[in-house]
Amino acid sequence: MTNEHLSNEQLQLLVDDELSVSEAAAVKEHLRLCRRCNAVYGSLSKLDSALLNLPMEHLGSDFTRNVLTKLHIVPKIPFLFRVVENLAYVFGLMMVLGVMLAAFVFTGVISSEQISQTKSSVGETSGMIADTMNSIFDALTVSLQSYLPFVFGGGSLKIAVTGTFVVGMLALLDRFLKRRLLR
Amino acid sequence: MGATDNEIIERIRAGDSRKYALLVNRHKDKAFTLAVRLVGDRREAEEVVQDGFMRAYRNLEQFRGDAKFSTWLYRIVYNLCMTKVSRRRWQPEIVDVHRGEMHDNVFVDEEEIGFDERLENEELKQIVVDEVNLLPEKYRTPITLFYLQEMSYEEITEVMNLPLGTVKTNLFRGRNLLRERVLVRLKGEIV
Repeated sequence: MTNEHLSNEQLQLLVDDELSVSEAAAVKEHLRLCRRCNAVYGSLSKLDSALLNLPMEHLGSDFTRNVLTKLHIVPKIPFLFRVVENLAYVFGLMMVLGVMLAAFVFTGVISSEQISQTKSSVGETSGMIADTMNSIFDALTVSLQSYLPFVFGGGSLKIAVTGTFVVGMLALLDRFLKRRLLR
Repeated sequence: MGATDNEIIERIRAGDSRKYALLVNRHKDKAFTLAVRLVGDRREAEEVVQDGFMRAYRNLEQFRGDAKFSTWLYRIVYNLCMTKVSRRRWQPEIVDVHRGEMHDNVFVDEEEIGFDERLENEELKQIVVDEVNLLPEKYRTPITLFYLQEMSYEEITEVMNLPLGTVKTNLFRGRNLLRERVLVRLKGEIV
């Protein structure tokens, strides 16, 4: 066996561990005595390990989200996060209304008395629907008085700034949670 | 250890489609690596892989589970890559006659070149990467699947839709051709 060189295929099968025990023993015996075949075997082994270490290509973190979005798969958002998200909308709406009312009162377009008159005139118009609207209006007024006292004459700009900050933080939290959930 | 691919697929079939994110995260990089090797362009490869994942999801009912999900996915990605390459008539599969196809027992004086010692070098690893990318597709694909995706011969036959003998032959010839080209480059650098 030492007179003739081994074929590259035989050596590759040894590298791949695809030879039977007896075949592998015979090939290894030849390698012990043949410098040339031993060198070829060495290069095939090194090539094999180099190929096993070929670099992997990586996709960005947005890839999965893009695939799910295109497939119209909506991420599951836990109940607590949905509450936070909706609170952000409610606070935002109240802020907008408050600013609008403040602007109207400040410019004299409407007065606090007009707000009361509007409330009472709505209450007078008709029975059950008016009562319902009246109570909603009451709740809104109380809320506005609590959160935006400056609109009704006793407040401070600090409340508005704090409210805006809270809305902003809730919006950021909402965005962050959605991004995490979609990964 | 997380759920297996088949367990995740069962949950998706049961209606929890959001679980598909787990499969995408698990297989996206390997699928992308295969696509980059085949189409040669990262942007196009990303499009192909995205398309592959979408097709896999839409045809998930056809996945029987007798093969691995990864094998099925890579087959989809492989076919999309082949379609893209053939459409743009990307570089024809002509082997450089000066570089030559490797034939069994071509004698290269490896003792002089010292192939095995030099392969420790990072530069030589880069040579191997470069030369893999320059191999004809019929060799490049099985080598990528065999080493990067760690697939068996049988799985490669499923992806490439080729007989087992052809896959084995192409893998063997591809590695021989690769070895010859690396040796030629080493020889050139020595001279």
